[in-house]
Amino acid sequence: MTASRALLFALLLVVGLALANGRSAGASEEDRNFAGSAQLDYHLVAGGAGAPAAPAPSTTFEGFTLEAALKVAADLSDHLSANVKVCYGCHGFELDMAYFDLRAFDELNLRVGRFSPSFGAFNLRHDPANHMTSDKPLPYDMGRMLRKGDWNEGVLPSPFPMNGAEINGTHWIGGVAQFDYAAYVATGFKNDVDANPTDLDFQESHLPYYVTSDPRPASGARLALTLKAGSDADMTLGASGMWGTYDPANKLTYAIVGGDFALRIERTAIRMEYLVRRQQMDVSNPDIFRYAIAPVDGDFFAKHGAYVEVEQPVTDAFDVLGRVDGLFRVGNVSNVSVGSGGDTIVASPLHERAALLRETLALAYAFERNFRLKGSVELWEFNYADSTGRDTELSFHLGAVGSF
Amino acid sequence: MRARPAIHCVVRAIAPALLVASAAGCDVLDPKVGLLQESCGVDAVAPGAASGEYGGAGTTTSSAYGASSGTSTSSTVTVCAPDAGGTCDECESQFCCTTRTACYEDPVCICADQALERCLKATAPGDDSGIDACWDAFEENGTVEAERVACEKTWCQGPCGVP
Repeated sequence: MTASRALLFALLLVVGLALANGRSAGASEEDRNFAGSAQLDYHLVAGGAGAPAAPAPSTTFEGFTLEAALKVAADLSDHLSANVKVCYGCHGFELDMAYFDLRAFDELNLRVGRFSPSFGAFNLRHDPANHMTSDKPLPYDMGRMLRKGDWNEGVLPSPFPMNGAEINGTHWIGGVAQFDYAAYVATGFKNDVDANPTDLDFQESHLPYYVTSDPRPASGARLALTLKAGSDADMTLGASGMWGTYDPANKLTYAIVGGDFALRIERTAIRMEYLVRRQQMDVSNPDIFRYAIAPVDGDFFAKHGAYVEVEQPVTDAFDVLGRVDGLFRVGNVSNVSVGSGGDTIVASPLHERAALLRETLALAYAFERNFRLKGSVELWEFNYADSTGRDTELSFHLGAVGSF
Repeated sequence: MRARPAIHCVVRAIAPALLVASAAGCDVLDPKVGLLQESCGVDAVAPGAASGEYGGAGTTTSSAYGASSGTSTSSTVTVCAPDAGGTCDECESQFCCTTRTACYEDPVCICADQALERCLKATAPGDDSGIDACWDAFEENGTVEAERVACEKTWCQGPCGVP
């Protein structure tokens, strides 16, 4: 059975079980949950010159974008539950979740199916209904950033659904501490298209490319500790890591590590997160690189990303968020666009130490509990100029998000 | 605030660990690069802009470099012409137009080609090892260069002086 057929089977099984559960006479409303969200956002880039024909390499998505999701969660027994989530975004419909949780007890849960493996803190909030800004922090950006073609997205575009299995659990230490862990094997990322792969091809993670020619799974783990100081304050520290190969020959590796910190004091939330991806490149064809290949430590690059944000409710309906985030990429630069196959060489504008810093001020107003208007202004500062000589951009988001 | 001692304990435990990890990770996350390969001052021919009499190309300068700085945006650049300027150029234009064009469309190869010419001019006639070194350096620069040399060896070894 191919992976796609197995996935379809799992999906049908989950839906079938959910429906059967709903029809059973003894089933209660708590046994299943149906939820959804949708965000419509308009992105305006004031300069415009850096994004003349979005979407295209080196540009961004201007104008309207929509993100929508529907999710079914079903408790099938005291130990078995299932989740299915289908989302719609810039690249069409996508199966974000289709997994079973087989829970022995709080400290031991087995998750199998399609899901985003446990990594970092933001991915838990990646649904637009769960964060106050229209877009994601740069380390987790998936196509909304300016010059996305130059950077090939963020460090770990979120969400990142993969097929695999994960063991996770939670252990409570009295009433003041909570320890979470997760370890997993999953399909991981890949680049089966380029003749000389130099970076992950995130397009290959989308439908209909679930079958991978990379037979070695990626693996990873996450540890997090939450300390609670009563009901008004808590703090979480987390560390995550993922490792895998991404080429068909399983020779080129990538490793992603991250640390996260969140502090909540009454209604004020402070969050910060740092990620770095170490990406090995195929340097067998030095032609495609902007710089000559260094004989030592010349076959990889490192992409760092971080964000710090403070979220402060002003009233019950009005929230303010300030965020500073950035990317820093160090290492050689390929002149071949990721996923192009390698036929066309176009000089990359990135240099060996490329950086991007963004400052965001966001406002959110909830007309009702489940319907919120979002607006933000973003100042982008690059340490390299685009083809028109610009290194600073200003952009605006205005959107609305609803959930049920 | 019962959790305060626990928070202090965690911070004290993690801070040294982060310092050690960052120090140990410096080399792991600090890749090295060589010289900028696009520093020769010659722009590559824009892909698709090349044309000529041999193998589908039109006009070029008689020198090997059809596109000096700034000409990559011109509408048509000839890389393979009937009279390309010399016996090597003419032979390559006639029999190896594809690999020649590929090199001139590649920002790295076109600079490596200039480096090859400089290397050969700086090498004394009869210095076979020096000539070999020039061609080896060019060939090892990348697959585009290697394919160009392979074609020259097959069709134009004599006119181009390929070892």
